[in-house]
Amino acid sequence: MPPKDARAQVTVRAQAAAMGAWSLQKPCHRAVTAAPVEPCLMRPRTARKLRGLASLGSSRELDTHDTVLEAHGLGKRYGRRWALSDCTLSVPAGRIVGLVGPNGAGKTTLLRLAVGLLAPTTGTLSVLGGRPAANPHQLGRVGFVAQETPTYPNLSVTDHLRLGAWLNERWDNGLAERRIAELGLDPRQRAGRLSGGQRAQLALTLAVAKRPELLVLDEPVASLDPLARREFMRAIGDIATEHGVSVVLSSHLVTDLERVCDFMIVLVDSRVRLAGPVEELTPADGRSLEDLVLDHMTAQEAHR
Amino acid sequence: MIRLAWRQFRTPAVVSAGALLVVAVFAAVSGRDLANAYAATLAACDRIGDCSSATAAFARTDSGLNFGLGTLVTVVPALVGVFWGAPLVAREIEAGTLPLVWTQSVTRARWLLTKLAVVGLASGLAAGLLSLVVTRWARPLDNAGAAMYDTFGQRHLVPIGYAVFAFALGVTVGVLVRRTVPAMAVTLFVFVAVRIFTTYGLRPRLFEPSHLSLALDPVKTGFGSAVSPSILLNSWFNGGPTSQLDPATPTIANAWIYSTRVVDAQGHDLTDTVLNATCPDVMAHADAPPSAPGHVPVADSAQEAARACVSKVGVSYHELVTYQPAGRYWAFQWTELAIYVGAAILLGAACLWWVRRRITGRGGGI
Repeated sequence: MPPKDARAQVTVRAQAAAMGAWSLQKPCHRAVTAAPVEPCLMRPRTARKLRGLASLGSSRELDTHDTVLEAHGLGKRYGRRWALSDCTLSVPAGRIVGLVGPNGAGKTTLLRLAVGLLAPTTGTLSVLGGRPAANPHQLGRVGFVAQETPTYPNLSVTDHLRLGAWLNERWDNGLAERRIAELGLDPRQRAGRLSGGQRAQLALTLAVAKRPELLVLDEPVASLDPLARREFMRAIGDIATEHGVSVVLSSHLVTDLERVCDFMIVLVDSRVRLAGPVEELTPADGRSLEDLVLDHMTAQEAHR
Repeated sequence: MIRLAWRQFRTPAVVSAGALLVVAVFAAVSGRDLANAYAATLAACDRIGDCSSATAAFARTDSGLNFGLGTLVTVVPALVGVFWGAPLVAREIEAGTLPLVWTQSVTRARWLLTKLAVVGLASGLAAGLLSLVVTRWARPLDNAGAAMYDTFGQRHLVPIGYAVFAFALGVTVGVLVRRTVPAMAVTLFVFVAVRIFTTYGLRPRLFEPSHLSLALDPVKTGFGSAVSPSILLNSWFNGGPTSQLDPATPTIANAWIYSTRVVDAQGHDLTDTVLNATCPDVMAHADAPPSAPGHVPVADSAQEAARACVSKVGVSYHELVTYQPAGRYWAFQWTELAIYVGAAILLGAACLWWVRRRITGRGGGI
């Protein structure tokens, strides 16, 4: 690890505060390798203090070009229950970002807010510099594969591709047909007859062929068998490199994400507990990334 | 988006169009025979110079088929609401396909409006064509029967309004209930309730009725009154008879007769108390339960007494007929069509508001 002088540290910290919680962790990553867990655990009080710093300092001139998603104090309430509260984070562009966390951490809510299926109760959220689902153009820039990878059971594979072509300006039919052919799917097959893995691949094809700048996937492999899981993850990796699309992918299993993601955000109780490039996060003492993530989750449990 | 809306609606549309075609072909063939028979009947009775009994008899031909086709026109809007309306959004909610379609490059407002327009227009078209087919088929019978208000809800324009409304109602219920089968049941229940309310509660009040005063006819005035579900519903909404004296309903061609009341010069209704006081001996007869359903055979002496009674009552009371003349039929048709289509547009607007603001807010399960 190259040592940095104190002034550089301060600059990083100020920028980090402006960019949001994940960057706040940057000085921490180094600490992680030395003394895991503790220094990176951001307690709410600390977070508030640092956000205060951001509002004091030079926050606005920061370019959002290198982020695909910016959330500030984002909250979503259902009746009296908060599914997500006071969530502040930035997701970097050009990465395959894994969003990991226990059930109920708010992952699904966050992603649904990001694609505009939900409207936030509090806070602000900007995706690719715009309000999610604000207009057809914004909708076209973000591809989404929902949990359980829904498709229309009565429509055939071809019908789904037609659906994509009808509903998207930038639809890339060649790409879609190539993918279907590579997957060996029968175009006349009804989606309801496909296996879980094939259905997930069809849903992914729809999301990719609309040529989005950001691809959001909400636990797409949760219901797949290990083989289908691996193939799906490999497909995501290929797509990201081939088309230069940013990817945000959620799961509650680190092992799913580790294989393909190069950036990891750990979300527990609506709060970012850990964020950073995977190669920096991976502990040097030979423990796995999963152990590290679990440490952070259990540390949170103990904290409560 | 219009192509997706059509693709999703293609199968029910083709099936319904096929069924409609079968009915249309059958009605065209059968209707020609019916029209010929009516022409022959009219030609025959013209030679005699009296057509009233011949046309009355003709109006009862094919009564089973007439009833069946009329019922079809009544039922089809309900089916449209249940099978086209209720699943339109509810099925997408249930199957979890909203996150798929709402993240394509089409706003959800346009998604909903396109679906509402495509299937809503098809609803109106289906009901309109069926109504046209049945109205044409039944024209000889309707002309002969001279009771156009009796089949008001099964002819001409109003079935279009019913179908469009039922469809919008189904969509709205589906958005609220979020599950297809319960939404279908609720849609049917609410639609039937609305139809009953408008038919018996609202329609009679749309236009101020006309009145006709007649002297009480001792020969044609009876005691007691007939009972049927439709009469009971009507009296529940609009008030029933106040006395047992039941004056004859006059023959006014194609009129819709609300009521035939017995009133005095000030317009007060005859009550059983007054009737009892005027002719106590007759009322003793009338109170006895009938020995058999239908007409009660009465002794000549009792009949004489009854006629005497009606004459006595007729000194200070007369028959007041409240009715809508035939000329207002089209005003009723257009008004009821406008009411139903207006209600459908309001429901569509409510769905739009709900889909944009609320649907994602509840429970998160889209």
